[in-house]
Amino acid sequence: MATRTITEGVTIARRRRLSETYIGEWIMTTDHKKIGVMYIVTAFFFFLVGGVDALLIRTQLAVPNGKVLTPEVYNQIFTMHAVTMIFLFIMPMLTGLGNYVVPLMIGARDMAFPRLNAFGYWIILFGGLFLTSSFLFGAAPNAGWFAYAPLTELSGPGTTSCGNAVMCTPGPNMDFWALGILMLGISSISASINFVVTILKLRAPGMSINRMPLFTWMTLITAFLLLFAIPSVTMASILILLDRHLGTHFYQAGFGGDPLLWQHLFWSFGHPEVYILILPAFGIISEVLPVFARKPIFGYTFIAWSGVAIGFLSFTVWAHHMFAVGLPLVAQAFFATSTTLIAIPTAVKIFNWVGTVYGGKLSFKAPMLFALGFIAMFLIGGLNGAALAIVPFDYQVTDTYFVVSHLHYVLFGGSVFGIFAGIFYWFPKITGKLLNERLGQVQFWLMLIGVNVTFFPMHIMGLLGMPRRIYTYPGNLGWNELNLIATIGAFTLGIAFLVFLWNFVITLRSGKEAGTDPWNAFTLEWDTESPPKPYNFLEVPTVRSRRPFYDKKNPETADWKSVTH
Amino acid sequence: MAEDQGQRKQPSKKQKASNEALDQFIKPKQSYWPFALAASLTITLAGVISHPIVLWVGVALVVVSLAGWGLERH
Repeated sequence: MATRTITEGVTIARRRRLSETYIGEWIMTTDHKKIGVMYIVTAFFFFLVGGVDALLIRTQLAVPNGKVLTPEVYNQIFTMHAVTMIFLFIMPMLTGLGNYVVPLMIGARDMAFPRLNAFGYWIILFGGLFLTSSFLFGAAPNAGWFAYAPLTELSGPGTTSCGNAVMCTPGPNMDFWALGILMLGISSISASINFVVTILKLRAPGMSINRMPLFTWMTLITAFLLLFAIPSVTMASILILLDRHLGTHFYQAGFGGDPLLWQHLFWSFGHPEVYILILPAFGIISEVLPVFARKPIFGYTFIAWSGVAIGFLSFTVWAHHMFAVGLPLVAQAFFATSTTLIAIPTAVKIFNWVGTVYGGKLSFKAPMLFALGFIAMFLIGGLNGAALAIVPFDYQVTDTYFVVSHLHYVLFGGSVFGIFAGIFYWFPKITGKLLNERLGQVQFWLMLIGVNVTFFPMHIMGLLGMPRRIYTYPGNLGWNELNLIATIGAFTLGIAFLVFLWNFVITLRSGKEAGTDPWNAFTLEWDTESPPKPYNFLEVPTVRSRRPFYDKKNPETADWKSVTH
Repeated sequence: MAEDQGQRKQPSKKQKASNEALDQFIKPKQSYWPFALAASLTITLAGVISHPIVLWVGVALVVVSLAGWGLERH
């Protein structure tokens, strides 16, 4: 019940509006900061779900002839592990951080389309719950996150059922996948449109595109990638739904369809997707390193434009996932070359990050540790990725654990380390409290050890011929010890996440007050209260350099006095 | 520094009221239509794999949500 005083002594009582209740306030919010927080909390929930999936997989594979899961459940678990981590953890987490931070960084009061922003969040939440609820029906997606056709068809050509060597997926498992991906695609498109318009139209006066923070740059590029990549997987999903339910045969060779059409459509989304998952992390690292090295970023222009180059090139490399299907030699040569080319702008970034750290007054706080860990781990992921661009080598290790190792060094060693760098860096702004530094360091070392113990042995497993996605293996192939080590590493990662959860809880309960600018940072988000007021800035700031908040704090040595950009 | 903060004047009632007014004035208007539209779309797609009735209920809710969103004062 709410009360309202009309005149002194006269108070009327009325029923509270939905927007005045605690839950109603969150359901109806269009504030970019609240929506950002909801994205982040939701992403961590799904990280927990995907993490449990990972531990189940590793427990099943810890010893030969494992019997922890049935083969049917194992297929569902490994599929949902990937779907959850990619679409329901990394993507919403990076969108959440972008939602919270980008408007503050560019001096805007909110996103360009606040209600579309809220819609993007709700549809990803419902999409995630829809996908995960499939476990309740015993029908979770079970054909891998890439859902290759014709394995994902409802029935074989000329039959109404599977069996007799006809590969297909009866039951609603892959319907959950296709419909879930449609929903998540709608969310991504909504968020991308919002980011593009916000960044291009709502920047503070003086913030030219050449003065934008690098996290904002990378978010902008990612938004464009999503706008161009999502339609491909959306189309692929609609076609498979038509095949499954309306009798079309887009992917069935027996009826003139082409199973490779699926692979082309999926990977022309799937490879840009890898950069969608890593580019915002590049942006986070480019914000954290200068602050903790007490230097401006080295090679701003190169970092920004190498991101653009990566964005363009990411649309030219998709068929390196398909070398083993028997592509013509010209196509193999083209995709091997483009894949090797994309290593150049990536290496440019690594060079610039090292240049930023070099000669700086380094402070090894948790965000910096995660940023440095990111560089080291992503470098390994990049190098073994470059190896996979070599066609004859790819033939040898395709669909083996070598590939699993590569993608986890990129997505865990890269994206997840980048995410934690961002979480530790911006947590004080979001909550007004500093995460416990000691627990942060413990978590970092556990993660660094865990990621290498888990994923490094997988290189060797792959070279020894262990295929991906197998349910179990006999004990005489030389894989036993390596699998056991990987499982120990996975549980180390699980402990690291529990340390983070503990840190999160005790910080919210009794954490140290952060103040507005605990890191003595350079960009505009730190020129607000912690947490910021709903309107962000009382007065919209005017920007004269790439480090506007540094300029404000140090008027004598302001960047705009000595640097022209 | 802490002393400075301690000595900082508390905002007057008038100032506080004007800050709250600024909050109300600048912050984007709340809306439940984004939530409603997302929920309706989910019901529609769930209808694709469950029952046509669920599908049509979802479609009707999508139409209502779109109309509500479009007609909302902002």
